[in-house]
Amino acid sequence: MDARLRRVTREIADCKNDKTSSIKIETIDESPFHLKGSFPGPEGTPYQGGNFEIDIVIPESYPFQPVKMKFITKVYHPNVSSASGAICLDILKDAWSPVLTLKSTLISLQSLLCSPEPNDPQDAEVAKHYMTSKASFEETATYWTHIYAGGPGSKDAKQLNSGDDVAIAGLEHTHVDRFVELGFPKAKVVDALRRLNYRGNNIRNIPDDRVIEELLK
Amino acid sequence: MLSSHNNALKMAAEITDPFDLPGPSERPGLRDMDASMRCTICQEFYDAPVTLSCGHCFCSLCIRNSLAEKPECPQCRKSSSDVHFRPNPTVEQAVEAWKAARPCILKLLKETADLLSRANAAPVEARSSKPVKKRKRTQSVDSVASIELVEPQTAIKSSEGESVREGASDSLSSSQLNPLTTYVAVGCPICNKQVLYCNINTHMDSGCSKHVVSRRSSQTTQATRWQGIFTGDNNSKGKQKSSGSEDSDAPLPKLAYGTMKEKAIRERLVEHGLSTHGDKAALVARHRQWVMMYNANLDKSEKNRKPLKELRKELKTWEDGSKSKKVIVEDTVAHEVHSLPGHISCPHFSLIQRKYRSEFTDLVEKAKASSSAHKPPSVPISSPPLETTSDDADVVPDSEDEAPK
Repeated sequence: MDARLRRVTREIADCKNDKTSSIKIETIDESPFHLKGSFPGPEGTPYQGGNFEIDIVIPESYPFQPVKMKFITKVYHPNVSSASGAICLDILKDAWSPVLTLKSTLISLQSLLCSPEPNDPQDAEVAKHYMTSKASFEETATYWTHIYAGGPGSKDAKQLNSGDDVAIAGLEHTHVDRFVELGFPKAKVVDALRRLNYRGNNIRNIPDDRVIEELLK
Repeated sequence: MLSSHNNALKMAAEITDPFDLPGPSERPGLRDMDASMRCTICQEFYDAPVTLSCGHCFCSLCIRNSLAEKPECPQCRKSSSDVHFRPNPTVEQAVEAWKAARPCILKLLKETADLLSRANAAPVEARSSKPVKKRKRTQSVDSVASIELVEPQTAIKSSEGESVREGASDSLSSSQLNPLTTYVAVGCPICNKQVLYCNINTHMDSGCSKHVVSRRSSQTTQATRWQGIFTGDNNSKGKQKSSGSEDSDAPLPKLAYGTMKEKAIRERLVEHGLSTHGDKAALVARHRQWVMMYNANLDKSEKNRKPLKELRKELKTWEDGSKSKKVIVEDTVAHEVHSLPGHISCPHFSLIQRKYRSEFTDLVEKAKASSSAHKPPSVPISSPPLETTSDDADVVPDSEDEAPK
């Protein structure tokens, strides 16, 4: 039998057998080379309480080429694309080693959630948010965990109703409302303010003219 | 869906892994023992284990494949290459012994587990079966302990049928009478002459007259050996290497395929009795894999090496496997090209190139025409500074000449 198939079968069995680990791997369709992994968000982070699912594709020359992974669950994280779930992590690219396994790679993703690297971002807007105001970033990340990963809501859950696009974008209602009152559609305002990183101390650097200019584009 | 699940189960039954053995809380060391006999790349028991300069050990073929991607140890990332390989016959022997012992151990473990469960199921009988159970238990523990103590050579013996206990006693007696040290010549403490270790006592008893190893004979043999190394033997070995003889122990050299003509690669394949079917890429892939498999086979101890016939068969199955994979790849590529026309990544490139060849050549011609049309005005601008040096001025007309072509 194919060495790749043998190794993958073993790795899936290994995850099933390991009762102490919280990492899960299951098949999606008939192919043993297209899998779904999942792990709980690490404790003490905005991702705590969420369950994060990963799409895993095993390439032809595995384990000599890195496994392809991306988030199925939407995550608000500087190194994960908020749109596509693509991950920026060295071991998934040139730092891959054939001794790494699906389980060890998923554990690495879990620890990536603990320690974001905003200087090497996958999602530049999220990274900007993180650099500008970590507290505001964490609030948004918690909110995303709550609505997309099934995590518990943040403390001021009253304000953060389910599906609130202002909160999803990590913005303040008062700021958005100010420009909506000028007669711009809400979605457009949210989009523009997100792009401008209209958060925390950065607001001082963005004059209202700049926002209007962006809105009139 | 169901059938695929059954297949998966079947495969799982066929594949052994460390979890077949009980964990450290039940039988300490057993699971780790199994894990340590496995290559960290393929997770199978070591096949032709080799040690790198950093000390990490892998199957020869696995690490050769890995180094082809990236020249570093997969474990510690220290830079490494196949010239640093050292075959590890000790690990090879240990793996062989463990592979033989494993079913025995599993059987013993199962028997004890069965006895325990039977004892639990029938509490009335428990009293009568208790002594049996106890004896069994201690026996299995003993056997495990003695396996750890036994030297590798005797461990193989014991797994071949003799009881493990006998193996252990064997190892004691054999270490006392080591055949290697018995036939080593040592200096006599009285007369300083060379005497075989096993004869030293009778030599001294005879007043230093018996069993002296003649120095001259050993010197002459040494001399002939050196001569052999410097003259005849070496030459013949060199010839064997170049002719690719089947008995040769020398590893095959890696070739710089980029600089070789297709014909030369074909000749190399014929030399090793391989098929010369396919285009250059296929020939190169075949030869590269053959060199890896051939050299990996040499890293085994001699008695475990596969005959070349078998290696050729394995090469064929490898090639069939990669061919079927390629077909699948091309299918998905075609699919992706249709769904994402704007998206180009490396593996798709050749396919797209083939598909749109005519358009590409059209574009290239148009570009050439427009560049030659734009050329004349650009030349006067670039030429004045170039006139300062005569060498550069020579280059400019050349490029001008080439452009219209």
